[in-house]
Amino acid sequence: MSNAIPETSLLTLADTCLLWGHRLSEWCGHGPALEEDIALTNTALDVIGQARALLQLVAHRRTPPTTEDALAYFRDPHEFRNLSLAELANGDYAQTILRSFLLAAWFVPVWEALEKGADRQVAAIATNASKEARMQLRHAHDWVVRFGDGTPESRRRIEAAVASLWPRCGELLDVEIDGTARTARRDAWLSIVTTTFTKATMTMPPMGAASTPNSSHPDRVTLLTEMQSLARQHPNAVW
Amino acid sequence: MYTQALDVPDIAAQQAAPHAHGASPAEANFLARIARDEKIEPQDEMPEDYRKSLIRQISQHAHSEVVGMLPEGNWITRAPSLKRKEILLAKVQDEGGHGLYLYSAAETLGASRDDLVDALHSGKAKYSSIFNYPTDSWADIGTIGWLVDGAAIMNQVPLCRCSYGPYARAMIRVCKEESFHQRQGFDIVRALCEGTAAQKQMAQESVNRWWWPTLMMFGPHDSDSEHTGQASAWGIKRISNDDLRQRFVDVTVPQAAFLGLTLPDALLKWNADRGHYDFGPIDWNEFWRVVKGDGPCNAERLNDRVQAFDDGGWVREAAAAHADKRARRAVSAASVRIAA
Ligand SMILES: [Fe+2]
Repeated sequence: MSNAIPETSLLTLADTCLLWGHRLSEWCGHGPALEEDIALTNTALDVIGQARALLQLVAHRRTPPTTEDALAYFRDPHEFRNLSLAELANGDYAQTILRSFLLAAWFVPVWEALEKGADRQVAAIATNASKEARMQLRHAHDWVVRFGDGTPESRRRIEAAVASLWPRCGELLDVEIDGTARTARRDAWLSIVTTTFTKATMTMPPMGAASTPNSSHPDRVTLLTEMQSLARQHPNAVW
Repeated sequence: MYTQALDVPDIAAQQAAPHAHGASPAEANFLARIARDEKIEPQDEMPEDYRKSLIRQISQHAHSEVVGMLPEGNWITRAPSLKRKEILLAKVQDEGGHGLYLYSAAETLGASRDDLVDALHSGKAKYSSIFNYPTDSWADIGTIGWLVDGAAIMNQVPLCRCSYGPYARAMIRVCKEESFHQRQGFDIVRALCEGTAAQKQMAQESVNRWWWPTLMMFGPHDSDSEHTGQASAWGIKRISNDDLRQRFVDVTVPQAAFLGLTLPDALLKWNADRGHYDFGPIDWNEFWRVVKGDGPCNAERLNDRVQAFDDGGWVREAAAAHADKRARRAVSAASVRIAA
């Protein structure tokens, strides 16, 4: 399978989806309004579904083959390859929404490139995922605009979210994903983000050099400790 | 998920039925429509007590759906496989959806969702007591689906034929989803029972904890029920609490046997004369304690709801403020066009 996208890239995508979906799932039952609770859970379900499809593919391609659950529950934190943006604790609703916006704006061009790619198994996943990512992007975009152009408090909160998440965006632009062109991806992301920030009457901070994420990934460790706790208590169990 | 039998006393809403003596022509006409099994629709004339009683029941039901997201939501982040995580997340989301359609059904009667939610948050409105029990283990997610959703379906299927159209239609949709949830819950318990000794023990302990609270979901005995007479005359309640409870026991005992689980009741046994299972006495002290606010998780559940609502205040305000700005901009753009 010479057209196969290397596992490292697939795991970056899968782990980003999985940890982001997990963070979103923490909101379930606690959203700011029932409609939003449901909408946020839609995104969580979409991205967890994407993670599963990719992890199943990775598991299947390994020799010997493994399972999606072995990859999700029995890898240690340092083996996860997600973008660090995905693992961060939720913060308030502005930060949750902004993270979704920044990630969806990244995923839309990624899926669109992979959809046309030579790895047809990945392309099949990307075809579905790109539709879902566009919907996620629209939902998150709408809220970023509402927060930027809403009340003084929402403005203060979305600006604080930008300040705290912006340093993570360098990684997002620099990461290599086989089957996608980095420059095109970067231009697409910048153009989406600029448009939304303009509508939200906000200025986009300058794109600094990528800051190196804390290599001990404390939020990733906390997340995985919780997520993997039950599965690891019963390592031989089938659920 | 679920409606608790509506006969739980609610002091504020308790009023004697006025039509018992000397019904007005409008009331007589209304009761005749009910007797003909016609659906009452929002624009139709209806007695004030019927309207109030429905708002109370439907909103209690809506609150139960929303509070019911919490105990199961507790395990979303720890679900032991990705498939189970996805199913559970979708299930809890469905409960939120049930809450939405039920609030909408209550709004057709002239209630406002804000007022109803306020009543929940101030502790004035009730929700199903079953959600005041903790979910201590993963097996509880299975047991809730199997037993609690099973009991909810038993209670709700007759409501699909209730006299108020919007409520009956909401219940049809809810019941379809609940039976799906029940099968998923049963499947979780089945996997545990077919699993390791530790998994099986987890399932048994969970059933031990949930069995009696589930039987309490059907509400007080018929002889102690305060609203049943009125509710059945109005075509809201079709089958009595005790009859529903008996049906539930009768279908559940063989399911437990199939799973190899023991139900925690030494008096549970088949009675060939009655053609039903006999079962032991329910601890009504516990029932009333939990209904009145003193269950294991009452404070925590309400607190979680209030906090989510309060934390979301600025989000809802921002959405309203932004919509307002857009509307004003549209108006001024339109007047510019007219002026030009
Ligand atoms: Fe429900």
